[in-house]
Amino acid sequence: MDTRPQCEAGQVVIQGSFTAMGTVFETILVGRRKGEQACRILLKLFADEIQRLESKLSYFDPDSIVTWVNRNAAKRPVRVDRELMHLIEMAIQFNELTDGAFDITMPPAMRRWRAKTPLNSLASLSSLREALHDVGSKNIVLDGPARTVQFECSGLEIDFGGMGKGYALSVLAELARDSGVDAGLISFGGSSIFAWGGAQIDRPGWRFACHNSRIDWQHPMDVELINEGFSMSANFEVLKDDSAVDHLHVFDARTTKPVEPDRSVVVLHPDPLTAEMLSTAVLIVGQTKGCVLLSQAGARGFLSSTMDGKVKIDHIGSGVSFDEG
Amino acid sequence: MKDETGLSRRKFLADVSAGAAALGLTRMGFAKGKPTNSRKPEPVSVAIIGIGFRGTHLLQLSELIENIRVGALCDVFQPHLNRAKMIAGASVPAYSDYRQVLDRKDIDGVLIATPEHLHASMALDALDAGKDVFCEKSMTHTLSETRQLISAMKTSDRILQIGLQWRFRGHNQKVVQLIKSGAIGRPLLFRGTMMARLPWYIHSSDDPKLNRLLNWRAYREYTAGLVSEFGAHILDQVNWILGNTSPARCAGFGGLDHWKNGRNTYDNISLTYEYPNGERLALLSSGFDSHILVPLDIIGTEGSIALGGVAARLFRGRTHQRPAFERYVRAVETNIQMTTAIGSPSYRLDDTDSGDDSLQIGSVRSEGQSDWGAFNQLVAFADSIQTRTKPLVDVNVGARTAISALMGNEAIDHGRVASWPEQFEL
Repeated sequence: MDTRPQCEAGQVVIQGSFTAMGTVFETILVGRRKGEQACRILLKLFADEIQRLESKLSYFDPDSIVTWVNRNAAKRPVRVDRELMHLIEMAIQFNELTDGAFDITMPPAMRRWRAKTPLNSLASLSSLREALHDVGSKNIVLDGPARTVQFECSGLEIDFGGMGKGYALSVLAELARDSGVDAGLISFGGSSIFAWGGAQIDRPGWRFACHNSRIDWQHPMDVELINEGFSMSANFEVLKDDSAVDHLHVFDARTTKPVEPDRSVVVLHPDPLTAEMLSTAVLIVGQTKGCVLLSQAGARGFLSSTMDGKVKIDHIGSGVSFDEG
Repeated sequence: MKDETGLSRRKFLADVSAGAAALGLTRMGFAKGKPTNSRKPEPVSVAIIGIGFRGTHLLQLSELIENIRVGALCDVFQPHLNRAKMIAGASVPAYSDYRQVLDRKDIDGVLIATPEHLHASMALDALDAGKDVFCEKSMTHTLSETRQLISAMKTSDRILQIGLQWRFRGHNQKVVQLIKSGAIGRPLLFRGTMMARLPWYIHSSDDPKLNRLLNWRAYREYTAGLVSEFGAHILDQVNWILGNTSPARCAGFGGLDHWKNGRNTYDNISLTYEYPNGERLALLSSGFDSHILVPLDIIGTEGSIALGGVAARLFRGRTHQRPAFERYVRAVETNIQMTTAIGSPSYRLDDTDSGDDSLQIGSVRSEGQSDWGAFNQLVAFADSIQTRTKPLVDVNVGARTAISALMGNEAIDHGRVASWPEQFEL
């Protein structure tokens, strides 16, 4: 972790970065009233909390609680703690709300399928249908009073993926609110961000840009976060250059067809977890259904589509304009 | 002006021709693996002393190089000589006593590929006889031999080149250049692994003395074993990366855990070398399995390199703050209102297979075959003889590697931390 205090105009700026949840966690903390000590304590709390959540929610950590659930829930009901129970309940509810577009059982199944199937081999979509046949959140059985999770078919696994980051941001946001740190921005890999306060004394929020198009790297979209979360999802891979990989890597599990065309979704919502789940779902369901979802949730955002070499941007949700360019 | 690799003025590896130049191939042309030489300088005449496994390899490589002519063969084992003559031609004189080779006035240089314990004495004799010397690694078998060779080279006008061919491989050179340019920040941790189940012991003669000599890699009186036969390459590469420096200390364990056939070189070693500025090398080697692992992982403060046999991969930028975020922080600190693009879809720390933030440092294969280290080093040796230029892998490089290897066995043998010998500066 790298931290460095910097004083400017009566404020202390602390930054930190470390690897977490399969990406880079980055933060800027601005202390104006309470100063450096409060920022440092908050940074420590952030690090502890992220580690705690990662060790619980990681699909890839063989010792995580999610891994424990994945290994055993098809055999018998597995007792989980309230936090994990709550998260699974939320995921199931959102699955129903999005007609199955958001589904925490899909990523593991897709991953297994992709491991066996070359990315550019779309000829084997029938094998995808087969791979997804026995999965789906409908196969998760929760027993609230007993606080247990059970899978109705073997081979089912859950992976919170971006939802885990969104949840972590919501937990960190609570810590931030209680910390006395005047302003800050926390980010998981640039795709899941929460910011509070203003980056500058005379600004209400945090303004930054985001790369919303695979083909137009020169004109990122500007957004400003005012005590809210930001989540971005896309069906083109990262980003370090425009030749990364075959972009047809996101599939609609309901139809087993790739999500086309190139598309990115940005969702802003006061709750970063809600923003995260919405962006994932809207990427798949597209503009029309996405507008409905965002409006229902009181979220705003935009959907950027690239067709025939042109980038088209549609604002969706409860309509706040964005600057383009 | 030359840097410690002897390669400056020939800034290399930006392209193929530069790579060839860096490897001392500027005087040579190649076609279908067989050199052709437009200037056709007089070939150097070399004798190969010791024509076992390695010597035969050198002989076969020499046959491909136009400015090398093999003028003599030498070995104490007649079947070795017979085999060598089949390759070099029946007319090439063969000897069982290397001193007869040294007496030949028409021999410019010798390639010494005998067991390790003979390297120093033969090299010293050859230098005394006015021959240029290419000596296989490990250069020496003892510390006192190392001192003798260094001392001899202080006054000798002859060439002594040591057979550490990794230095002549294009991608190894490129890795060193990348590290120097800061591609992975400060290299702090190295993991070297070399495993091979080679035929180091085959019962070959009922004469116990001959049998022992033919299986010299199995016995400590002839070789330091794994740490020099395999580890030397890794040690040399790390010494090279760290600016031709030497390890300060070594600790570790080893044993003869699998082969129970009378051999006494370790077949299972795990060593840790510590360099003066705190860099560390974990060196693992075994002789009972040939599972191929990445020979050298180089872990830096800002990235890593996996250095393989024919290529390397660079991984970086995944464990650190992204540059855009860094700029954003600066703007906040200085109260400048600017919108930096810190938002993006999923910046992932994936496994290395994703490859989307890794760089394959491919082989620098070319008509110059610049990744063929064992070949290139002989081309360079001939070039040094002809041009009277200092070899890339000189006595100091060889000494540094040899002593590093000896430290490893000292640590294992005595169960203690072995230190770089006092008052031994290179």
